[in-house]
Amino acid sequence: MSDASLLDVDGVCGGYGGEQVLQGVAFNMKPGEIVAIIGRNGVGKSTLMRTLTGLLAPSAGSIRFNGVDMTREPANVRALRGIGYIPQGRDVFPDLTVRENLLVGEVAGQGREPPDYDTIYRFFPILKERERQRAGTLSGGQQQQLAIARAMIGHPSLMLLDEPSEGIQPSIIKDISRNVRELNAQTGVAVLLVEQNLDLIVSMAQRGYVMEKGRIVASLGPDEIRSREAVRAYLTI
Amino acid sequence: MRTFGRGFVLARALSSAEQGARRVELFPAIFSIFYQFGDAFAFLVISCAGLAVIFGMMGIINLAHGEFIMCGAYVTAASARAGLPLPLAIACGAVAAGVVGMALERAVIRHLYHRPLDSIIATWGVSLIATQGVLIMLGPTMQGIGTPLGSTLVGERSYSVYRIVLFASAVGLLVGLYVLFYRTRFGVIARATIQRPAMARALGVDTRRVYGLTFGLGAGLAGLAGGLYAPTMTMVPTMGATFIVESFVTVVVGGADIFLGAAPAAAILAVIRAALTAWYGQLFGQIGLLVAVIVVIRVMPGGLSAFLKRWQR
Repeated sequence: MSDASLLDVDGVCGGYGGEQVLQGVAFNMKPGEIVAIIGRNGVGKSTLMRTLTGLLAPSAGSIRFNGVDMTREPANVRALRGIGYIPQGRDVFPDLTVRENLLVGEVAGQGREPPDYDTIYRFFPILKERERQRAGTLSGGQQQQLAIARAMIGHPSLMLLDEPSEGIQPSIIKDISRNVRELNAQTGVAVLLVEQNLDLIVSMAQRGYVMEKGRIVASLGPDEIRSREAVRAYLTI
Repeated sequence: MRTFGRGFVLARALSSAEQGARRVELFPAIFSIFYQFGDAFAFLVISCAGLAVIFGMMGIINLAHGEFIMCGAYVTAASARAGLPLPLAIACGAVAAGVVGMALERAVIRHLYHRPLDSIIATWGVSLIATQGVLIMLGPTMQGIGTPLGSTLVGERSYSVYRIVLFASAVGLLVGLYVLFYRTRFGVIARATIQRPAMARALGVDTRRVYGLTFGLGAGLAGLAGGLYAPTMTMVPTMGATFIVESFVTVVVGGADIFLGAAPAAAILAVIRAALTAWYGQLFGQIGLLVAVIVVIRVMPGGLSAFLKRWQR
């Protein structure tokens, strides 16, 4: 099992409407890995994430998850298969309470595993405190925690984490990085991280890919991804 | 002197009798005001609930709303005359309209979610087909059912007991909808879907199913309105039109939220309507409603709910 791929992306093209943003993206992930995709603004990282969730349909290529071809499956079916999505900008349900947001997150785990609120609240105690508060009134960092918790409550085997550092204070970025690594260690959830924040990439990722103009152009091993100089060089290409 | 005395005594006796009568008449007068208000409130709430659910939750302006009401009324009348007790017959009417609504959603509405203007035209078309179709198949009128429960005397006027039941139903309907949307899993998921449809889908929610059920619920509520008012109305294919003005006025004044919008809007409009109707007659009651809409659109374009939500924040 440990040798099998969790995610196999092969020759994926796609984008919005007629515009082709992804030009044949190919990479893979093993279960339990933390992999970063780095690259500058506009190279297609978020488009790739939305294509992996199923919110955008690819025009070519294939996406296999746990050995199942899910290229043509809609987003809700992919979520039930174990893909948890934490989008750029968090996208919490603003008029729902924190507890209600988590309740929606439970849907993905239905029929697989019951929700485990104890674990989630141990990682994110602030959410327990704010249970009855409307999510739209939380701070950016708290919303980020809620978005991660909302994905985790459905027991995903892969977490797609899109720019978690965006608009968040540096001190909280450290907390989020630590939390995600601990979640990864304890639950074995794999993490695909799209990021531009150097600290977060270096502190979290175990290996990485460099994306440029809709393609993966380089692969970074464990040593390279932990080197600030190497990562900085790729971020400023 | 004697005549003056007698006249004086008579006058005093008369005035004290008048005062006594006035004291006794205070309760009937208050009851009458509440009855008028309750009647108007019930009509507004019950007739707009289905429209408000579909508009508020899905952003679809359902011009076939009146025909779902007609569908509910016809099925209710038919099943009541076939021997079902009235409450059951009303439930049949609501369920029938709900099922028709879900079928319509699947066949037509589902393809128009990204084209709100086209969905107005489509539902209007459905409305025309439904009224004409019923006219052709069932004729210009159908035998109705009498208003049950009779009437009760308060003071010197008699009031329909069934209208009081309708008021209680309107309150019950609001409570029921609140419980459904705020206290059940389906309600939370439906509200999440309305706020961020793509995100809900990415979390595993089958949003198409949620939309289908929500539309069915709205159509079922319209059917319930038809069922509840069936005993008070003449059964004609165009009977839905009776409800249309009031329901649209309430939804426009209320805005997108049922509880912060349609319900308080119905209360305010009911006061306006009951007062104007009592003083100047039905026509002015209707005019008052329309003037209220114009004022609200001018002052609060998002309706009461947008206004109240700003206050909440």
